[in-house]
Amino acid sequence: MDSSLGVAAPDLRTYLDTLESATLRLRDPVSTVHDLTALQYALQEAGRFPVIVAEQPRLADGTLSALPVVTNLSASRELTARALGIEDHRTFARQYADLTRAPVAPTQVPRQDAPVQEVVQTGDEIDLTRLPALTQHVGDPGPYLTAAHAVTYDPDSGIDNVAIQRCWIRDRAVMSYFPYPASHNARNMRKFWQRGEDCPIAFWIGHHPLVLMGAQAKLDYPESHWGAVGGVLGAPLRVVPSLTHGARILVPAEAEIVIEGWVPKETFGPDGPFGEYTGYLGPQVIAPLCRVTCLTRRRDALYHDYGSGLTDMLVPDNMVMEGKLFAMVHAVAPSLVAVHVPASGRRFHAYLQFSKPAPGEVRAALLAALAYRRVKTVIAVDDDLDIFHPDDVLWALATRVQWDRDTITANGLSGSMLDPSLPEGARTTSKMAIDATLPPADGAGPPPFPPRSRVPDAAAARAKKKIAELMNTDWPST
Amino acid sequence: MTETVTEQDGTTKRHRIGGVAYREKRGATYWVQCPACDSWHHVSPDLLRSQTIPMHCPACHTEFGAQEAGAVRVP
Repeated sequence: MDSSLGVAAPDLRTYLDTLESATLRLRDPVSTVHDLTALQYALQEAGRFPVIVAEQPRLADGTLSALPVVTNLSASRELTARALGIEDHRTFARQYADLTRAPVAPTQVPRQDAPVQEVVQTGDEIDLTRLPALTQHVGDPGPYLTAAHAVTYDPDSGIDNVAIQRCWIRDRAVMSYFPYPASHNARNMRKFWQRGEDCPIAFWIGHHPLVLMGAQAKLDYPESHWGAVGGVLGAPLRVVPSLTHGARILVPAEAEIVIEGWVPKETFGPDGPFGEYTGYLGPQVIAPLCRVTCLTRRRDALYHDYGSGLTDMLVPDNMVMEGKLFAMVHAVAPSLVAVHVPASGRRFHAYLQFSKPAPGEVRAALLAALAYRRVKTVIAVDDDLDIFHPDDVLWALATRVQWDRDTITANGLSGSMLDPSLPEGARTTSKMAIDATLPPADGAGPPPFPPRSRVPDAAAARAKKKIAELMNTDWPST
Repeated sequence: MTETVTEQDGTTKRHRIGGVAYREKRGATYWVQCPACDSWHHVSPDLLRSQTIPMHCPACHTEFGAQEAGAVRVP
């Protein structure tokens, strides 16, 4: 309870309490090696996206973990948007851009008010191998933390940074930690190393989606994520000093688990292969090692896992990308009304939707969107279509594009080095933008394109009523 | 118009079609074979070239350097 506000501070467990009907609760033991991830794949293929709670996760050695696993938490766009108080996920991009535009500074609480520090383990008490971390895919070398939010800080400014970065549990108190080389955390780490110092670090796991989504805001360097979280929350996030690093590294007081430690200077090991968001295994890479000094958690902590490469992980990150793209593109194209970064395109595709754009505005918008590092293909469409329906986007490509006139290709742009189509040694990528909007209406009279084929609304209503009366489950579905 | 460009190592990697440079589609994955269990996994070129950091077989957990690998396949 946040005594200053008189209301419960949001956390993972209170969020789950609101989702009982949308939760698949597994009361029997289930293996953390492949089985939970396989369940996520099967549900995804069936078009079902419940939150999964495994009450008795069975570890690789056959024993049961004391901590339940929560996964598939954000596999559903609808649930994820609603967790942020956004009823229609189609409007997420604009609303998220607005929420993160007005940061709210966090508030520090003492240890006795921080549930995440109810249990403190140090020295020989630490045993990361007892965490129910999942081995998700064939080829992964072992259990990975996939929802660990790494907190480091810039030693020049003191400003902290948060990012989800995978960790392979190697031993009781050692894990490899892979910050993407261009990431802000990697930059902070290198700064410490250049000073001849080890890099202080803490990882927090498990929180309300309000906090998870705010913490993923795409910010400049150096810029703290706590403000963006506060913007999404509409209130200051409650944070507590880490026990190892004090107030230099703060962690959310209502998180479930925190792992604190150091990344020793120039200490590396192999990491991976690892099933990535691209849908392929990423290669085994050189990664820093993290020495763990302290593990804190709630007494009855929940362990949060993101299904890597599944909608569980793609949905929240892509929705945050939609907010960032909305802000970037709207600055040059005010007729932008919606953005969709579809899970089918991993993080490489973005659909932009416009309402009556001015001449030239769509192409300006396409160029702005191409500047976003991960986006590789951008498609612009009109507001007569549903950009959350792939058939609509493909119909626009089929009927509204002349490829020599309506496409822009650009080479030598920043991109994701995990894209397996990149040629060997490439440091930049090739991108494409497609204007699949209709030509603008020019003056009075009918528009310069044919009308859509349709039936009268009344006939459509009669047809739906008839189908409901006749619904036959034996009808072919393909 | 097509022109084949031969690289110094004798491979033909680039062509020229209509005066525009064309890059032949090629894979970019480095594979190593574990000397202990013969399974293959793919690695980054940096790790393959490293003199100090061993590769780790995800199947049997043997650590080995490039010289010890059962086989190496490079693009």
